[in-house]
Amino acid sequence: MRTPLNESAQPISGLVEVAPIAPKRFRLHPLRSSVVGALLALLVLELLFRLIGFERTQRGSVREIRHFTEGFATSHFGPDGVRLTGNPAIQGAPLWLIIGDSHVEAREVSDATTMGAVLEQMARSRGRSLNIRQYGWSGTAAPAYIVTADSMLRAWAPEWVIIVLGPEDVGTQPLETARLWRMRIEPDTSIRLLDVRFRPSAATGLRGWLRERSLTPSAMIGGLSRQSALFAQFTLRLPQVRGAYAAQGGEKTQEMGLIAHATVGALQDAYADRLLVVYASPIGHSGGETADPEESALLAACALEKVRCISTRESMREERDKRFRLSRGFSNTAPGEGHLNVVGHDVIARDIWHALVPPASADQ
Amino acid sequence: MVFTSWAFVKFLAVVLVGLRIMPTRMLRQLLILLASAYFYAYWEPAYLLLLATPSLIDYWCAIAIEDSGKAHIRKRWLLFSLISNLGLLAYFKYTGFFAETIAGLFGMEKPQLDIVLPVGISFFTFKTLSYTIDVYRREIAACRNMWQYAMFVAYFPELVAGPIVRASVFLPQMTRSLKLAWPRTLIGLQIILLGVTKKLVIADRLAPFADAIFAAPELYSPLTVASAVLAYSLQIYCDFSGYSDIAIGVSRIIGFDLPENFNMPYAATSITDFWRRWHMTLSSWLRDYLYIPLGGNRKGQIRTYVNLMLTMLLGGLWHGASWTFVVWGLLHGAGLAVHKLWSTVFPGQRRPFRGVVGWALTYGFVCFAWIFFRSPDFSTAVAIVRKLAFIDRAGVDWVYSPLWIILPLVVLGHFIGLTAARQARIAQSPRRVPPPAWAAGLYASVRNRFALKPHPAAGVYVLLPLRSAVGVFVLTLWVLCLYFFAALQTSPFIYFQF
Repeated sequence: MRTPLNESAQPISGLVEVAPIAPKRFRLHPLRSSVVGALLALLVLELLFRLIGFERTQRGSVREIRHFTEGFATSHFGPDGVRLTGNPAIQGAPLWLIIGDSHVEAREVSDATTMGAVLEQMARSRGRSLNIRQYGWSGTAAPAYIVTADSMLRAWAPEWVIIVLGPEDVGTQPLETARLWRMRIEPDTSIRLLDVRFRPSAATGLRGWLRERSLTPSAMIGGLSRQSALFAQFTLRLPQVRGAYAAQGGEKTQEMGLIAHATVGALQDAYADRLLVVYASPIGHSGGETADPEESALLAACALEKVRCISTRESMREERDKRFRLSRGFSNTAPGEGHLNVVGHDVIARDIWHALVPPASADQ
Repeated sequence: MVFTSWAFVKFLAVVLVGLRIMPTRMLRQLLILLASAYFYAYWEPAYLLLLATPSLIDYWCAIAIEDSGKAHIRKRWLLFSLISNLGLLAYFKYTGFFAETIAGLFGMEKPQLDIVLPVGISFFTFKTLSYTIDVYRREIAACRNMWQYAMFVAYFPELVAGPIVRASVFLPQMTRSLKLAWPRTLIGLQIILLGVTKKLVIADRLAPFADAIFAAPELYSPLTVASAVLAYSLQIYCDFSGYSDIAIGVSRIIGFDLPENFNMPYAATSITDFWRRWHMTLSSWLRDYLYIPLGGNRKGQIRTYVNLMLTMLLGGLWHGASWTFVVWGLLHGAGLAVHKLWSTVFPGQRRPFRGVVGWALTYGFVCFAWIFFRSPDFSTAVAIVRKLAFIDRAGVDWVYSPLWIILPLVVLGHFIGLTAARQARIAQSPRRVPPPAWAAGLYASVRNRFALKPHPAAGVYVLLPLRSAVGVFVLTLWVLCLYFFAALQTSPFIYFQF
């Protein structure tokens, strides 16, 4: 006779009551769990970077860069580094060159809102054919623009060359901290160019290798450069740059007027009569009622050297005080600080237009 | 040295290695004392004399108070301690303020005084004052070990910006071995990480925007100014609570438990509740050493309101030598008095303006008061108020996108903290009041999915268990995001100026 199992505490002969086996939950060793968690986090970050895609090359030779630290914009650069305007070039049309530093490189604004693009649109909307080529090299100063003068003039035969300068160009930057090329002022106020171009080292090789394979460590290395602040000083720390600079007799001078005079004189020699110097005034959310010392020094030097020169101070101040629009700053930066925004590029474009186009034909 | 600097990281590493290798408790305590002296002297070596002088005075005063049997002698020693401490504070902090005020009243030229405010003087003055007063009240025994007392006064994590630690909390912990222990270190590191995130990712991101608007409010539109006030409310909370978190976390690693300084103050539903959650060590200090001695609420309604106003006025003045701080204090005093009256007229559950409406009124009032706290002068404060009242409507519209990313994160953090705290209270509560079903379900879902839970040893913090893949995943992602999103330009901790 069979006895139900649940009525008897005694095992039935030949049968052994076996307690139900609880399902085992799969658990990793804690250390392995931690390693798995950390690796997963790195993978997620890598996927995120690849999705955002900070920089990529498309259409064979156009470089596309997505910028997030100041504003949110996508910019495109041609093979020789020209910042594209997004407008098609007009065959045979006069060409103006705009040359400058990161304010002309303008990674913070989209192609169609750069000063060059706005100028092209202004001209073409008034029935004038005009092509603009804009070259901006971040962290550079007048020495770099002088070095490239011959090649630019030969390649493009521009009608006008517009050099955009800022307060730092009249300070010690061209002497001490500018990238690529710096200058030394001779006793006769001429300048001697100093080559401080960055030579690839093992570190840059490693970064390039990493970048090809993974964006996360590359971004972290880039982050380290930012975090250590003053990218311009980064080159100064490298032994080979320090040595080259010292060998060429780089010296400091604090005399702003001398720097301005030497700079304008050298630009005049390089670009002759087709030169327009534009001083991009650092108008923020206050100030600007009077010219700053840098502006005064630059305008005085231009008057002395008989170089066409304009300052955007009044236009930017009017834009701020009457139309309540700031020329600098972005939605993720403090208002009035940093690089030129869409309004700033628009103001500069209009100032350039009014400086170069006779009034009668300016608004035709 | 600032907590979020590499100099402090190196300093802390040296201290922790030293604690690890020191063989006895006494040597570890001595190490902390020397490290604290170095920490304070890092700003200015002469400040050490300023720190040592009132410390020595209070050390001997406390012993004299305890040893003296006569009430009038005890009182004299207490007065001596009060006068010397407050005298030093008054000289360094308020001389210029009073001189300018008097000059302004009599139409005289503003005096050019060159008195540098030593870092943290307001904090350690209050700390040492509380010690002598507690000894006088016979609430604690006088410390007879000069080195331990010196360590209490100079203890570096909370020396320059709090929390204001009382001797009754700190001195009993002197019996601890101060040997580094891995569980405390892990908890401390996570609390530090939270503080660093609040400071570098939130506070320093919002600072440039708030600074720009407060520098020239006339230029901006009312909505932009309003968003700047909102940004400042988040900035000051994350800046100050971030500092407190780092101080508490560092102390936790070393082996001391510091009191909490913030308990989600922007979740307060009344101004009284706000002051139970904001800068708790200061508010309790003001309550115990100012409000109650003035009579508290024991001398009638009118006197209670006067005591509240007076306490908060002095609290405002403690923050800074400026009339804007006085106005800020008076506003809060008035708010407390009004709430006291309100609670009297509408006691208990029948009181209107509780819950969401109470929260909105409280937060709005606190933000309004921050205008005076932050503004460099009255004209700026008035300009901001005019903008908020839409009297002056013109101006630049500026949408600061980090604010609208940070705001939901802060709200989420408060939500997680509130539900975790509530769950912890329910677990300990004999009455076991159940939470709303939706809150309990959501919290359980989040907790189970992400292995988050309130750590009983960590106070109000929700910590990540580090023995699980999910916990380490979240922590690694957190650290990397901190690296990428930390503001490139950091600003000094706001409360360093006090």
